[in-house]
Formats: sequence, structure tokens, C-alpha cells
Amino acid sequence: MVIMKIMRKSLGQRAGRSTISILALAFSVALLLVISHIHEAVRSYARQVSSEADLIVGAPSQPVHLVLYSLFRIGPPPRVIPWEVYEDIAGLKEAEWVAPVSTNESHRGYTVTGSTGRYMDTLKLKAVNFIGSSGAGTVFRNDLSAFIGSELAEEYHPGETLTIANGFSPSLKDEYQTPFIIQGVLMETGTSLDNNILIPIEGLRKTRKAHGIKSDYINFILIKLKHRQSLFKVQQALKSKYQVPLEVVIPALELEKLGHYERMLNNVFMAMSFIIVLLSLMMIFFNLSAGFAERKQEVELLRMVGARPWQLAGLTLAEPVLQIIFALFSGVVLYKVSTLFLGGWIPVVNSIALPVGHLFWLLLLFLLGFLIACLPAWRMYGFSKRT
Amino acid sequence: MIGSQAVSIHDLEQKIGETEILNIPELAITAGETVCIQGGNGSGKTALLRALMGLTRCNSGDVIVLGNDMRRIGASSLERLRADAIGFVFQHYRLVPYLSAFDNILLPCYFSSKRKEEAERRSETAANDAFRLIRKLSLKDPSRLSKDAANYSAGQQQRFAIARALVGKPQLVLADEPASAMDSNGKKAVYQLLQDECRASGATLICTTHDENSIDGFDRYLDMKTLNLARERENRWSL
Repeated sequence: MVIMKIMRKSLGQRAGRSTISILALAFSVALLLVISHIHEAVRSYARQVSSEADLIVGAPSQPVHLVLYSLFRIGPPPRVIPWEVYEDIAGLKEAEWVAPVSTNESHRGYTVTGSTGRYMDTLKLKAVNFIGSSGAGTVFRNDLSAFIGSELAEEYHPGETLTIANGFSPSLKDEYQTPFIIQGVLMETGTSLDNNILIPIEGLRKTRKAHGIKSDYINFILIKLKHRQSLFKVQQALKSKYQVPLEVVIPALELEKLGHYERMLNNVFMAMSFIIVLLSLMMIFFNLSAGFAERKQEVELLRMVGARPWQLAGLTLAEPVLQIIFALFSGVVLYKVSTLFLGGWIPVVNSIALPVGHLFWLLLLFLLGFLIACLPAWRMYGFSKRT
Repeated sequence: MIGSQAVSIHDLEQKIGETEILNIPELAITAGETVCIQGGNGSGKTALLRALMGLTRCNSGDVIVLGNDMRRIGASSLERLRADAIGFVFQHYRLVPYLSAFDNILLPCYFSSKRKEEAERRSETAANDAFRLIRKLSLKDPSRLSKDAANYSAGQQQRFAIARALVGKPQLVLADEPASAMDSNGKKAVYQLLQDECRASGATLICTTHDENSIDGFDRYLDMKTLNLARERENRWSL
């Protein structure tokens, strides 16, 4: 029992010096876990979203840009393509479903996205405050229904009406007269969709016609095939079939290319965090080694009154091990708090729980810390034996 | 142990590197005797006490402490001998700085059941025995022992180290300049307590000092100049 008391008091005495190394280790562990978590969450979300659409069709542009905009709303919108392309693709016997998307209208600077319920499902959108719907709440009640992104929720409420206009800097003549009724508010996505108003494409087309716009157009089309085996065949067919030049991309393939860079970046961050972890562990080790000299007289005394070498070695081992356990625990708490905070900012982060791989990291760090703590303990054992 | 020899040294030689620091042809101290070893700095007083504690092993000769040959004793037997039978006062007190003064005094009782039982036999509890000893050391308020040892003055710390050496009735008390940090009144109290306690319990007391004046009451006084031939031969240390 007295050994426990000595350990407690000794830890208390060295608390100031230990705090810095504990904090450094806790922060680096949290950093390691957060980076790993974000990486997993982004990969999982990208996999989920890209698995919904097999092909994306748009005006000629960089394939990656088309994928990033159509699935994550990153980058500028692609140029428009004629509505007839969609009608033709919708008739393909290989297609399970086809979703046209238009992003050419706006409402007071907010982008208006015209599409179908299928597009909402593809992006895993959910409504949090909605009227007259079921399930995810994103089924349009009629052609003049609208869902607003979460960032518009303070200004607009379900049941209110809004009008839209052609383009993003519209003059009075560009304003459509037909009002849309807000049906619900979409859950936060962390993408620019949170600033969007989503309306049914049929309603949008009718509104355009009512305003006298003759040619119908969309920005891109999502396609889900009945069988993935026909992926390349359909891609080639679509590329060569139309008079208008089209880009037909396979999102999974493009995301895989992006994933390669994302993994490289992730590895760099992970390596940096791991170096900080190692530095923190080395700080603990050097603290112990520096303390070793000043503890020699203390150890000699304790040996004289009957303390055994294994008790003193245990004392030397227990201190850093307790520090490491405390730091790992604090690191996990910090990581949890960080992901909660990040979740409010990047909702994708909330989509996964603590992956099992994280436990491996923690175990590895503990073992590494344990090994580092064993060195001074072993020295102490040898010194005690000789005293 | 009274009547028999507590310490017996024969042809003891100890070197550090090439330097001979101890050369004691003969020394016998009877159990229950109180002995004061006087000598100047570097005369080998501390080296002799460390050899008796088993902290250093001699190069040659015999060192018998309480019937144990200190050159051949095994590690665990030495451990038990020191914990159960030897009380010691280091020159620089050596208290555990983050333990309370009270815990420092009781350290031997925490690690040795024999010392704990002896303390309880004398004062009902080991704590009471600690209080009894500390009162005898002229500490004005012996109830205030809960502060960490490092917070007390040098003189007070030395008193705690002496109480630690005496608690639990050890058979042999080795004190290395036990009153070096005290004023003359404190010194008298310390030597008086060490002598009284050891005589009352029949323990052997070996005290070293470089103070040649006003240390009374010991059964025998030894001078390192005559005891340790290593110094005389080398003539390296002037006293």
C-alpha cells in the first residue's frame, strides 16, 4: 500500500512536468484519430454517393469536375445540355433510372436545383422539417413544391412561397411569375447544397414555358444501370450517339483517382501526427531519464528501509504507464469532442462511428509507450539490485 | 545481542579505483555499546558506515554485522537485515521529499513488519511511537507532521531522519553526522536521544562526527586517524 502512496505522491510532485508531455500526447492522439476519422468518413460518404449513380452525363469538361459538382456540388456548374438528350437516355433499355438536374435558376442569389426525387435519394438528402410527406421526407407533393437547404431555414419556413428567376444576376424580365411552395427543410450536408432550393424538374419546365422560354435545358444527368456489366458499353454508346458533344463519366472511377490523392494527403497528415506522438513519448522518456538521477538517493533510502527492486521498478514503470493511459484517454475524449464540433461543420463526419482501426492505433501507441517506459524501469531495477 | 559482538571488522580493505579509502585492521563493537567515531572530512567515516550498511562491498577482509558476513550475504538477506535490524541516519538526512514528515518517520514500519510490531509493542501504535520520538527531539509542535518533508528546515528534517532511524527498535543504529545541521541545544538533544533510546532498547549505536567538542555520554570514542590506516599511509588528507 505504501508503494501506491509513494506512486500517487510522486506523480503529484512531478505533475507540472508531466502535464506538458501528457497534453502533447493527448493532442497528438486526438489529431491522429480525427484525421483517420475524417478520412474514413469522406471515403465512406463518397462510396455511398457514387454507388448510387453509375454514369454522369454533361457538357464537355474535366470528368473530375463533372463528378465533383454533380455529387458534391464542388466547383462551378457544367454548361447546359439540351433536354432531348435526357429524354433519349431515359428511354435506354439498360437504364434502371435516369435523373436530370438543372442548376440554371436562382432565387435572391441562392441556386435553384431542378430535379427528381431520385436525385434527392442519390445524394442521401433528408428533410428535417417538412409537410405532407413520409420516409426521408423528400418526396415532392406536386410540381410546385420546393425544399430549402438548411442555411435558408432561418429566412424561410415550410408553407411560405418563393419565386425563382433565370440566371444568377437576373433583371426584372428574368423573374418567373409562378410561385413555389416550401414543403420542407433539408438536413445539413456541409456542401453548397445547404444554400440550394430544390424543386421538381417538371415544375421548373412548366414555369420556364409559362415565362416564354422555348428551349429546354439541363446541366447534367445521373444514370443508374440495371447491370454494371454494360457500363463501358453504354458509356461508349452515349459518347458517340449525339450530335452535341457530351462528357460521359463513371463517377466510381473518377472518385478512385481522387481517392489516390486523398490517401496520399491523409498519409502525410498521419505521418505528421505519428511523429508528434513519438516526440511526446520521447518527452515522457526524457522526463523519466532526467528524473532518474534525482531519484537515485530516494531509491537508496527506500532500499535501505526494505523496498524491493521489483517494487521500485514497478514504481518507475507505473508512473509513465499511468501518464500514457491518461493521455490516451484524454486524446479519445478530445477526439470525440472534436468530431462533435466538426460534425456541425462537416456533417459527413457524423456518418461513421469510431472505426475498429482506431482501437488498433490506440493499442499500438500504448504498447509503444509501454516499451519506452520499460527502459527506465529496467535501469531502476538494475540500480536497486546493486544497492 | 548484549555481550556478543554487534560489529566485527578484521583486515578490512576498500579501494575506489587505485585509491585505498579504508584499511582497518581490527574493530570490534559489542552489542549494546554506544560508540562515537570522530574524524575530519574525507577520513573514511561515511565509507565505513556504508560498508556496515552493506551499501558497498569491501575488496578484502571480514565485516560481520549482527552475525552476518557483509561480503558474502545474499541480496534478499541483506534486504531483510537492513529493513528489520538497522536504523540509519544519512549525512544529508535523505527524506522522501514528497511524503509527509510523518510518513517519512514511519517508512521502516511500512516495509518491515518486525519494526512495526516493535513500535506497536512500545507505544500501542507505530504512529504513537513516532510522536514519542519526535517529542524527545525538542520539536515544538509534534502534531504538525503532515506537511511534505521538503517544507521543513534542515534541522527539522534531520530530526525526522533520526526518528526514522529509531522507530521500531532496530538492533543497530548507524548515524552519519546526525546533528550536523543543528544548533548546540539541538545537538545535545539528538545525541542524548540516540544514546537513551539505544540503551533503553539494548541497541548498538555507532555515530560519526567531525565535531571534536562537547559530545558526551558515549561508551567509547574512536578516532579515524588511528582506526583507518589508509589515511595515514597515503597522508593525502589533512585533518
